[in-house]
Amino acid sequence: MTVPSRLLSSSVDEDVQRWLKAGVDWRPASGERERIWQAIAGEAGKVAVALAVAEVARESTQVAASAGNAATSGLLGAARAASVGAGSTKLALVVVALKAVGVGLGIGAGLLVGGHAVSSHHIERPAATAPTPATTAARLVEESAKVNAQIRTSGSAQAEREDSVPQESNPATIPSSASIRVSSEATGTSRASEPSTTAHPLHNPAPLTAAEEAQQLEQRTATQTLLSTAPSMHHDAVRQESRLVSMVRSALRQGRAASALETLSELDQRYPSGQLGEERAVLRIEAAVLGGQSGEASRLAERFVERYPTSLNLDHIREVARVSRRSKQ
Amino acid sequence: MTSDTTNLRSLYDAEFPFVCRTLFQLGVPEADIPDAVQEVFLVVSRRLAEFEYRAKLRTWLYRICAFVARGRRRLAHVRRESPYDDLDCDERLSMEPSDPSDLTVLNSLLGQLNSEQREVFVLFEIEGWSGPELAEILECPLPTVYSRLRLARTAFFAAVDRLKAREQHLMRKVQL
Repeated sequence: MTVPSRLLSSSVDEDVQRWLKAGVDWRPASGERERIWQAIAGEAGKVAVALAVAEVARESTQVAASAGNAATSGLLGAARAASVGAGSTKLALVVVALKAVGVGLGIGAGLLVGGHAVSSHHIERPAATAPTPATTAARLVEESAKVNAQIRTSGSAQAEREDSVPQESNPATIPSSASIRVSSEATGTSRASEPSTTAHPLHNPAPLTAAEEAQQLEQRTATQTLLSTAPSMHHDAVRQESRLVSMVRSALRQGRAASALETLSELDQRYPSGQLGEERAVLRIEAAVLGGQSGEASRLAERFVERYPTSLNLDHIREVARVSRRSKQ
Repeated sequence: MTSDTTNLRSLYDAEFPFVCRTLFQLGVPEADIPDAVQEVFLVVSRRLAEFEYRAKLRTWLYRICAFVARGRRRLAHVRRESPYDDLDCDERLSMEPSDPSDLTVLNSLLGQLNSEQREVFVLFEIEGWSGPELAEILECPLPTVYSRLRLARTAFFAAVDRLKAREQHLMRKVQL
């Protein structure tokens, strides 16, 4: 077989040489390079964000339903508290009612918004941006202390005005008699016979509200953190998944089926619905064949054909399955 | 700027001329080159993390270029009509011979080769790839590469002959 030489280096027609040279020397117009790069950089960013948003939206669908329910509960609770407060002319009750409405609405709205981005299995909260459990807890304790102090102040001031009983020590130990008096005066009905723990919102609201608020604040904080960091974290997750898939490929090339299967298991744990599902399925079949698990390989191949009927890898998978069957026989 | 973007930028800077030239020589109209280049590098940006350097970088890039060029050829909106399409043969021949650039002539000649021939001709004659490299990139045996190249050259010189015959005919008409 003779190796042909290029026309440009042989003695062909001068015109042909000139035309070919024009092809070799052709360069895009100056200035195009940077303009095209700007467009590429912009588009590449959009693609990454779109992928991240789509993934986050998909994976938060299940969470959105429960978040919606929680929001409804929050609003109902707020409405109940507001109805109690509305009948009262007392400052303490109004403060509590408003606080309850605020908390209810805030949590409801927060959870509704958060429903679109609440945690997926592989979105990891980066330490740099997410509050640590310790800081979150400290902030929640501080917030609940403020709530308690406000309730205590208003509650005790009111009580002092009513019957001159000091209430500074602990809002949870406000004498039920005072509470009952306030409540009955506010509603115009006697509740002396009702248990004090349920008769008055001031009697035992602070610990409950603080606990609820703590939980809800934590949820809201987590949601906001995820909203602000989900795209970049998702991008990292895809990159990490891709790296692990590359490791699997490398292991398979080196004939290390066990290592490949181990990495694939890790992938399943970390990214159960990752972006490279089809690629991972192919690699799993190859790893099974390499590891001598012919039956498993055939089963996986059948599942692959069902799951990815239009895959470009179908021929490859069928070939792998055929080889696997032959080696089994 | 992330490391991925930095990698992409380096690759872009190094391979921009190659990608532009390849797309142009694969039949993408010059006006569509910026869009096609953008398309190529968007594919590269999505796939770069998976590229394991098992193939040569240029081989990989060429395949993406070929894929993009094929896609663009299929797009109806880039199939531009020639301004001369409405003229009949005599009208065309009666027009003053223009002075097209060498590049336009080359593109016109390459346009008369089928896609397989054009591919092998461009890569061998213009880009200077060797036979074995072409066998790898085109995923076919080396004798097939040389066979395609021979047919491509025959088709190319036939197109050159037709062009020269047409020029001579036009010159004669102008002289008359």
